[in-house]
Amino acid sequence: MPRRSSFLALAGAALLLVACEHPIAVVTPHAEIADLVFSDSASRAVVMRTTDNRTWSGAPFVMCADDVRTLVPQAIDFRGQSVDLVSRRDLEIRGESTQPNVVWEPLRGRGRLLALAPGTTRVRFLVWHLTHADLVSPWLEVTVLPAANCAASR
Amino acid sequence: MTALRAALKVTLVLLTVAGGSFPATVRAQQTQPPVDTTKSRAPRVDTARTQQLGTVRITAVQGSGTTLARPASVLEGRALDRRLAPSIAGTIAGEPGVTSRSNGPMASQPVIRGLTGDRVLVLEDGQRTGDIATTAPDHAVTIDPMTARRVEIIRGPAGLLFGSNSLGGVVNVVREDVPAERIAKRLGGVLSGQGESVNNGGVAHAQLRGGVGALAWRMSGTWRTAGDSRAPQGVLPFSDVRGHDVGAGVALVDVTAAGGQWRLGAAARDVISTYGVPGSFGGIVLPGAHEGGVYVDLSRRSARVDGSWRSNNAEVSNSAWPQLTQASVSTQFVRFEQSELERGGFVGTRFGQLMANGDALVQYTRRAGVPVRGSVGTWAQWRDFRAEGSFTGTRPGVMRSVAGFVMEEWSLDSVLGGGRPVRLQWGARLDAARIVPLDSTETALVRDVRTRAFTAPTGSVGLTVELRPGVTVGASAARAFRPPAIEELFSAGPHLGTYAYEVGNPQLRAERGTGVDLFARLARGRVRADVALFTMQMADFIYQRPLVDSITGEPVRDPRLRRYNVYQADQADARLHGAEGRVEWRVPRARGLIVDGTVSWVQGIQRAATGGTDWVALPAMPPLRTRTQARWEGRQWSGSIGLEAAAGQSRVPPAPFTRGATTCALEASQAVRGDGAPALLPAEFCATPSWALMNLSVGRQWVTGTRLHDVTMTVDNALNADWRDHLWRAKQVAPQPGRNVRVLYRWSW
Amino acid sequence: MRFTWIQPARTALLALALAACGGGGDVTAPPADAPRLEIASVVIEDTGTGDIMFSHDNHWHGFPVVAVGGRRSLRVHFVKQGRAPDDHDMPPRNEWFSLANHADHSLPVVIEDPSRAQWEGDRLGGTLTGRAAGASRISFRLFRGTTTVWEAPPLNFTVRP
Repeated sequence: MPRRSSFLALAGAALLLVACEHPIAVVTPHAEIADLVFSDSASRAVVMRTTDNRTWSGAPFVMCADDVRTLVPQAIDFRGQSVDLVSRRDLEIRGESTQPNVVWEPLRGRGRLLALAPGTTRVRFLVWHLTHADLVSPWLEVTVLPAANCAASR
Repeated sequence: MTALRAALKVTLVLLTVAGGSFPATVRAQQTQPPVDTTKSRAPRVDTARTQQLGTVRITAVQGSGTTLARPASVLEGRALDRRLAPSIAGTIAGEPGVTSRSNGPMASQPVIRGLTGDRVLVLEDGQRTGDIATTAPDHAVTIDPMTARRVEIIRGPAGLLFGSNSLGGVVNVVREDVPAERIAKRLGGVLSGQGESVNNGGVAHAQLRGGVGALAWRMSGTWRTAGDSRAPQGVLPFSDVRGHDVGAGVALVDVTAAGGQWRLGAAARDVISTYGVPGSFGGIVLPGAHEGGVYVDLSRRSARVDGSWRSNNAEVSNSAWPQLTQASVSTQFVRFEQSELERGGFVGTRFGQLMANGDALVQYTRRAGVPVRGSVGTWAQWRDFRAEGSFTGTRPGVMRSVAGFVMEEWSLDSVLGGGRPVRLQWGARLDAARIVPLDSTETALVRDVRTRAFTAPTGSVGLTVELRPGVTVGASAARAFRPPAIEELFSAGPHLGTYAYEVGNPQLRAERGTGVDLFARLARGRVRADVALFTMQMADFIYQRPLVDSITGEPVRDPRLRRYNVYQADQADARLHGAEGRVEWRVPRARGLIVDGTVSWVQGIQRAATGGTDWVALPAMPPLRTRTQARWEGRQWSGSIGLEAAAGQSRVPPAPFTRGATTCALEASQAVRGDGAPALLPAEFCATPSWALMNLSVGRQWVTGTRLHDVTMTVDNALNADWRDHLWRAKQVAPQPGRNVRVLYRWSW
Repeated sequence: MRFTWIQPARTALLALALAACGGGGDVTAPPADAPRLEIASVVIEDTGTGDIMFSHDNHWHGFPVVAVGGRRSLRVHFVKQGRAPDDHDMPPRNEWFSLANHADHSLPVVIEDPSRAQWEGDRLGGTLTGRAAGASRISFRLFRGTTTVWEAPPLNFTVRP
């Protein structure tokens, strides 16, 4: 009898050995970014945005040399609802350009698009999550006009 | 060549040590009967939980009777030693109707009659493993083949015995973690080690067992490490592995009480493995794969409690009322965790799962004019599966399943057989499954994420007739079903290891299959043969359909990264038919020489995605495969030479793209410039050439006292042939491993 | 002959040792070295104007501008401490260090379009001279001997007419 009861204890212990909290204790709801929207930080007007992450409205984007546009990026899901980028400290908006005359400088909650020199280039944006992209936007054509041309037209 | 010389040297040393050190012992042994090495690993099973299939013994969780009306085979003893691979699938590939789908040496999955993944059930001692092997091709089966005492394979729908997810068949790895018999010895065991040259790998295995009276215990452990595999053209990166598989169990066996024999036992097991998933070769990266490779890091902890009662009277009852002969209960709990790591150790995806299941089985006998053996059982499972990370496409969910079944075997010898064994088996089962997603967030491509419930009756009927001694024919028909897996229903994202963006279909219905088998078994004189023909019709067969851009004709790239081809779960009717067989011939006047051959063939078609009456080839159907071997089994020495070959496979579905990805030729796709979009067609649309491999082995065993020593040297792919696995997504880029010299030493006492 | 445990243990070890003697060359560990420099970012200081530019993950804050024919004298500093992805502040000066005490390191600088500008310098910094109006990128790579220790993201710069 003592052998059997100690044996049952062994059996129960075997089960308890593995019975424990789930390896993934918290289920994080899926947050899928479908499109990006860029608004002017001052006027809050939408400057450019993607549709189905395939095309850009507001294209081609025209800037003047030496211009700096401070833009507020917003990520939205397929219903158009905003996906929080600011409080998500593991997400940031990065930019890539094919030519060096335009560069994107990410900042907290916003970013700056700098036109360094005249010319045409293509720019795209990545929603960067730690070490990889969660979303890659299509290429956006950006034209930088010489400063003199811009001054004449203003 | 260096590896071969080294292996030969070691083998000669081992054999010399054996021959030189123990001459007196060996001479003494020569007068004794030869040691039956097949039993050095094969367990003496509790026969009440065993089904007999001619000379083949199948240990099943549920079942009754002495004849199984299903094609099946068993791998054990020396035959198992010769085929040991890093994975269970690699070990059993080559059995009739069985091949493997490789995704690197570790993440290989068994393919039975062309079906794999969630349609082939892999069990350990009759219980589900609780891992996520079936959810994706890069997920491994967490059973180390070195721990197996025997591997049983049942081909074709086995849903009645084992439940859903066995449309293709069942692979049961027998380890007997919970001892099923009393152990007379206070201490016995097996120590073995294997080294192999193709990956500078080594495996060590230890098993100890003992008993005192009714108390029996068993412990076993395997430790494995291997580097990258070598192929004829170079090293296959990210194919290394390391890990362990250890377990222990204890039981009180054959305790007499209440008119029967009781058994109560428990066991626990811990599996840890880290392995690479290859996605590049020779500097060429498979489209969609990660250049820095992917590593999978997994951990599985399980515990089980088994109990049974067996009547002292196993005779068939003469009463119409069922008389209980056996009752058994088994319950299991598993905790599983897996991380998929990118270069730099970044976790792309992490999976976690808790699983609990239990079954109860009651066996009885009765008389309905003829002797009847039957069983009634119930099975229940709860599974909580979750995933997190950036590359998580699949959806967390809780799955609950419950089933009840009844099976009977009628002995019609006196009625139809004229005294010869005639068995009629029938069974009915009702399964109910419920999938509750823990995250109902919708995405652009996956809407209506909700709880899904599936209920289906299944059944089977089979007849076996012994026409004359040693000649048995049979037929069986079975209806089986498979509810969609949670990733087939609700996936919405990239999957690191499969180079794809997978999108679920919440509207999927359960698959339903009807299979018919005709089989014949021959065991007369010097010839043994086992042949089966089969056909299966499947309604609502679930497959992954690559999406095509209707405007451009190019593959749809995932909306987030524009990097992966998008696959969406869809379903269509499918049909499979084929044949498999094995013949073994003991050559006359050549004592101990046996020639055997195996052939497996399957063809599958499915209704075209375009609808209508068009049928197209099912993707990932294995080609015609043969295995021929001449082996010699002496008292101390053994050897074999064999040829394994596969025909080319050109029966592939037509490529759906008209632009973008249109070529299977790697060189052509590399020359295409553009927006970085790959021009290489996914592997399931590409044919594969034929291949042939030569395998050799030599072995020696000797006894010292009561200790058995066994050394086997095996050379796989002796001619270092270049061959491609038709079922591997990376086959256009990466070849299979080249020549491998393995030396296995086993010492048991 | 009396059985002992030594013989099977020896043969078991021999079998296991096969794992180490198959094919291919052994991988030998590189000889132990002095500790490798840990770099998280680079800071460029214009010694003339006092402008500061610094890298952060894969981008820069601050972009140099030089006139055609003009020169910018830039000093290069490094920072060990990494920063969170949303921390875009300049690293404090007390975290900066130069390669003055690391004579075994070098800092080759490459201009993507050499027709735009020219760089002359050493491991402590250098001079950026404007050649033609437009924009280009500079890459800074830190070498120890012939081994790349760290590489900065490319820095965009403008050459004004």
